[in-house]
Amino acid sequence: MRLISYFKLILPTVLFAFFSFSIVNAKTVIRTDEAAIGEADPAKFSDNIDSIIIFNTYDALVDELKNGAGLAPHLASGWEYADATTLNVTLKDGIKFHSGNILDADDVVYSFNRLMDMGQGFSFLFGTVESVTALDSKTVQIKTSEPFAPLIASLMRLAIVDKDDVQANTTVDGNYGDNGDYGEAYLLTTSAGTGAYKITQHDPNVKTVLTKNNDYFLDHNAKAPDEVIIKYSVEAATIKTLLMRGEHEISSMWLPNEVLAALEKEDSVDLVKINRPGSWYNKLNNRRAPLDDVHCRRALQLAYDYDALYLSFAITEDMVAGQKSSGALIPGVLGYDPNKAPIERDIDKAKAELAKCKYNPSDYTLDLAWIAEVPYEEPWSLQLQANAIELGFDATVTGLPWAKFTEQVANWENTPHATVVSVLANVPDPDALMFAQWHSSRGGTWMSAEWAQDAELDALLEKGRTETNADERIKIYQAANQLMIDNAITLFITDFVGYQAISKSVSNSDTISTQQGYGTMGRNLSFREMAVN
Amino acid sequence: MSASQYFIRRIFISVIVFFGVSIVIFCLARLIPGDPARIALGPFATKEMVEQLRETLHLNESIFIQYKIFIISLFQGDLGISTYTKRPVIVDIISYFPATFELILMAGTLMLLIGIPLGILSGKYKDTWIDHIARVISLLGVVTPSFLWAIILMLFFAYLIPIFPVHERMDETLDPPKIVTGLLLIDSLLEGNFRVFRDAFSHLILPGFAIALPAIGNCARLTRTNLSDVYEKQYIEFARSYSFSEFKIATKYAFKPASIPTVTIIGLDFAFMLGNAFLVETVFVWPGMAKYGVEVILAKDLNGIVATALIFTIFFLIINMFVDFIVLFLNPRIILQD
Repeated sequence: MRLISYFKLILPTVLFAFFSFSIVNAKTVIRTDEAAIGEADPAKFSDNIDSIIIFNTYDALVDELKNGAGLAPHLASGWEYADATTLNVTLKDGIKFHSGNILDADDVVYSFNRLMDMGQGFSFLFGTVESVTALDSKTVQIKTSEPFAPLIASLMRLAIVDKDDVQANTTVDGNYGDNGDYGEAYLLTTSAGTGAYKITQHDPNVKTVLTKNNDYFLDHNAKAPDEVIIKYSVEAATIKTLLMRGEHEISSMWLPNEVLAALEKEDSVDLVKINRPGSWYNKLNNRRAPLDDVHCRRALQLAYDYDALYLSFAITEDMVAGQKSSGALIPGVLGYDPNKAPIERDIDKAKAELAKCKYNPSDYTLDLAWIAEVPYEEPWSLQLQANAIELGFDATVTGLPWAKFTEQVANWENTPHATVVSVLANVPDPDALMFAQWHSSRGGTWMSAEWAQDAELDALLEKGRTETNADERIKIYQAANQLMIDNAITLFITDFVGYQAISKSVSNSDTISTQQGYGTMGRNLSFREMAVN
Repeated sequence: MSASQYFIRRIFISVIVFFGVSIVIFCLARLIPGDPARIALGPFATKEMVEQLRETLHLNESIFIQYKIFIISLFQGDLGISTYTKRPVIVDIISYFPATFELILMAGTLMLLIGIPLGILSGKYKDTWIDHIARVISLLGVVTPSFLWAIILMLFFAYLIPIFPVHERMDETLDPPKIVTGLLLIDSLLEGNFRVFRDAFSHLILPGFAIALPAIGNCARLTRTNLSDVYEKQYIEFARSYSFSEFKIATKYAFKPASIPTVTIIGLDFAFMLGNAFLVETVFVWPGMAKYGVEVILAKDLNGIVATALIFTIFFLIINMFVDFIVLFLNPRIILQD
């Protein structure tokens, strides 16, 4: 009997907790999730989640227009080239930072210098910029060492910080000489931008809370959320549960296909198709035998089963999270041609190409790799293995940890014959995508695992950088794209298509058109343009 | 040897173990493949940026110099900057450790409150239907890993019957209490904020049970086995002949000697929960140290790895010492034997 009394003590405690929680939700909130970690410093951001935070809390001189309409002035009122290497940018009047300070040219100069001095994030986009100076309080002059056509697009990634606010919160003891810590500690957890939302809470490994900036210089949607909560690294099963309970509004794009397929059947959730500016590649090492022979590469290109690859992205019969690739130019990037036919398998042509290859395939074992942290890439390596064996090669498949891969790729002899890698366009300009991957000067990085050394391609990529006429640039990049296919420099698996699960509580034309309307990485979660029903 | 000498010796040994572990962890962390600076700066960083960060992190120095710098900084209370979160590691630990500690305390409490009574019932009614049911429950607990319990509990009590919250430490619409201990239950009570207390408690139930269930099974099985042995001793029969109540015999005369091996294993189980919490924290979006520990390993955040491992080491050492003291209390003859 006394044991029963003992349990009587425990039971009320459990029941107390059981029935006693409640949810109060006075303000409108959008809750979403992403892979950790979230970087809030505009001089350090580089990833998808970082971009979402920065695009919502900071602004740049230039922004992407909706639905592929190109680029437009944003904090800038306009720009003009004084000569081929000098760009003068004029700023809009009266734009306020979160602190209440007014934006001027000094803020732009400070933001640029901070980015370059810290040497992180998207600073690599501005390698040709020699100087940024303030001609007056409303005009900024940008000088480049050579004509650099992607400059305007790159400016999308220069988030403008509030110089006075950051300097007031700079710690003298830091890594940047007279600039102390350059406000590094301050911007770790707060925002000093002009953006539509302010950071009110930020733990890079747990969650970020954004609150509406009512002084924003552009309008918010009348039903835009008051608060946005971004949670990091939440399990797919948990996201599914939260969506079903109405405690989550927008999922990340990284939900496994089986979870998406399950959510597709639920009435309270919609799946939204997102065209993302990126691709999956099987990067062929162009320097290692036998793939240093273009005919061997072409043979693999023609033998690769693109139909099977495409179907491996299927969520349901009607829903496929991929799009057959027509080369390096992808939707959302200048020069992409939606009418260009995708690359297809032709085993007879593949065998004919192999006959022209100077190597005997049976003498070679191809080492094919995929990134161990991304297990769903493995089937695409296995598919290449099957197709290579079909041609008479031997082939092994290895899951390489990312850290190991980045080490191996620094040397062409150690770079695998083929590695599955995904690449996203940082800005909607083909230069950002193509130069970094396939110009011969860029070998040795994870992006350039091909170790491409094609003089004709180099010439086209260099010309594309200096040509300022948009129509001419399109022609140049389309020629470069065709050359890449002809010389089988890389294998294109598919172009990215993402699916996000969204709760019916935010599923409406405003939210969906925002999610689908922008191509640049992270730009499509513009919360000020979304609506809570 | 007196009790105080015994304690001092245990503390001295723990300090030596701590420094031994620090050396091993420091070296092992550097054996993980990949350049920490490259991983920290991301795929787009140039070689110059990577080299600059390597200099800042002293990665170009020999491992002896690196360890010397680490130890000097450690004595100054500086664990370095996390290349993963970009914050001082000490800030990360202060942010994440209390969450895991609170969860472990909850799981430990559940383990004791359910595991021991279950074991006593099972041992007391050995080979009856009560024993059989208790053993099935214990076995189920032991053989099912915590992360699976997490998914099962979520499925039943958050998805099919949505009665428990399923993520984080408290409802995001509530204002958190002022941080005193970092433990929400205590901080909310100190503030007199019972609404947050209730909410935080309800958030602890599912992850707490997910971590506790395997340990409950272990605890019940050990208690049962040891208690069964003790029940066969003559002094228990002697107590019965004096008409002591069965409850008194079970809880006072049988349980105390039977609990010595159980306490040792419970202590280890409690310490192991810290590491086992990783997947449970991931499933329940728990902002804790176990999840952080795994993520810093994946990101090859050297300072984060070493600091996490040392925190876990300290936790193990403290729990071990605590268990030793309890065992000493239960059986003072240990000092003489030692």
